Amino acid sequence: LKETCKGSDMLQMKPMFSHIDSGLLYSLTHSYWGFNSPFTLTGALKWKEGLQQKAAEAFLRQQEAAPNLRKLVYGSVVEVTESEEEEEELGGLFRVSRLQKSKKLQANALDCSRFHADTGHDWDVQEVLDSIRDCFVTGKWEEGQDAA
Amino acid sequence: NNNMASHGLTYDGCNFFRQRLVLSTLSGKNVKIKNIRSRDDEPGLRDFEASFIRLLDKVTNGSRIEINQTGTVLFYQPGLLYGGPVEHDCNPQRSVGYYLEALLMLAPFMKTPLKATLKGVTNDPTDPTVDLLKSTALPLMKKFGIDGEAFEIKVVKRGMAPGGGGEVVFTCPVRKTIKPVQLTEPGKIKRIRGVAYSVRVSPQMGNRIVESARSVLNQFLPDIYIYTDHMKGTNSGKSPGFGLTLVAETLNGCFLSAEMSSTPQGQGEPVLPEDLGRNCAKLLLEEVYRGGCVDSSNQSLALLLMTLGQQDVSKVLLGPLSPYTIEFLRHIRDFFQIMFKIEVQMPLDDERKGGDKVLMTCVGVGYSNINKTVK
Repeated sequence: LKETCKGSDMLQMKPMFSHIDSGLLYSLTHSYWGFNSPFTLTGALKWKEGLQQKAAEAFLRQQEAAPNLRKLVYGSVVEVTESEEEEEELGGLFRVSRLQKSKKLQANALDCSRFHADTGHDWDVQEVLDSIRDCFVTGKWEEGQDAA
Repeated sequence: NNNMASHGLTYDGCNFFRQRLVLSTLSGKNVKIKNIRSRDDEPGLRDFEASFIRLLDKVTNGSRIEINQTGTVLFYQPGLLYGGPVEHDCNPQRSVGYYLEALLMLAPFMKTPLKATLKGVTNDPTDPTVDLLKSTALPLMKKFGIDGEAFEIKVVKRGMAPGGGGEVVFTCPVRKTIKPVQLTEPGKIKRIRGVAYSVRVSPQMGNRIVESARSVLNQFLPDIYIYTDHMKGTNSGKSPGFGLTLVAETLNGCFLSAEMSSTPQGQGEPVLPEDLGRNCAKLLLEEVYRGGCVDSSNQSLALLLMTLGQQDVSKVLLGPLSPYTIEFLRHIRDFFQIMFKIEVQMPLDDERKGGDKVLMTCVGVGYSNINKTVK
């Protein structure tokens, strides 16, 4: 079976769907099946129409939802392309120079490794406390793990 | 802002100052930092930055440092990391932690083992304190094979901001290579330890802090022990103050920490020890929520040691990346041409283990300590 799976048609399929979550494809096709059985349709296997497009759309949706951290960290930083200073003439003699706030301030901000928490978690609320309960030995243990 | 000059890197502004100089020293690449507070009413380098440069000069041999007249441009050509006994008066504008964070990154790569005596402010609200670094950074470094008897941070005298007057001794063995690590499973938290320190105030302050912190943390664990550390006389520095450092230790030997210091005398509203204890305990819960195998203030240290490891895969699970860490990753790319694989791990629906985690993977550059003397 392994041999046949490595066949050429499989290889051709792979690049097309390799980036699409197989579970996603499954749910896409199945929702269609459940909704409209293929046997009631005129033309056989009508559900196949536009399948690739649908999958592609779903893939893109998913991509947007999951943050791409690598891009965030290493991607080229989108910098404001405005001129560094906004210059405004006053009576043709003096110039008002203003700082480009965001970027300039960041470049000369405080060099500190502390990560300040501003998540707005209220640690007096029981539900919030419960959200970390299993991080402790007193919390729930996964199957196959033992407190001993 | 990282355009390659002919033989070095160029940056703008004074932010991430230490990262740039540390990575420059380790990689041997020159660095030029310009526009340092160039638009400020008082342009140029501050005293604490000058103090940091002097410290860097003390632990290296043959570094070349050029600063222009206004102090807005700095050029640094790193020398060899020398080490040995070093004494330094850390400018009290920043606490010893500011200087120590950089030394922790450099110390394993010295020619001779470093013994640094740092004098100044040991605890302030801005930077990670020496107590925090002692209980989180050292065990983290041990996982990378940096180990030995003479590996410790000792608080000889405590000096609160703004006056300072504290003294810290940091000793670190040298290593030829760094071990790659696989820290992907933090494990459950088994105990919480802490230090409630106070100087030049009533020793009762420590007990009041401990009581209030325990009241929050006891909801999760019974195994909590917070030491009270009240230094007296010549060991108590020049300013009054108190604070708390909390550390949660997991079954797999990972450490998550949080801390809080009282407001420095004359710099704003004073805080009650009860509030400080309670708020610090909540900060620890926040840190547990972020989670991962490395504390948020030690993320960069872990990533640096992964980068410099032997040519093998290292994996470390972190909580959300701090802005400081994100910039550190960019600097690592500039100086060492290493880019990490960054994967987000979302918690399962029925899991109660805090927020999203980030799995960082890289192959080390196989850094070898050429400074170390061969015996």
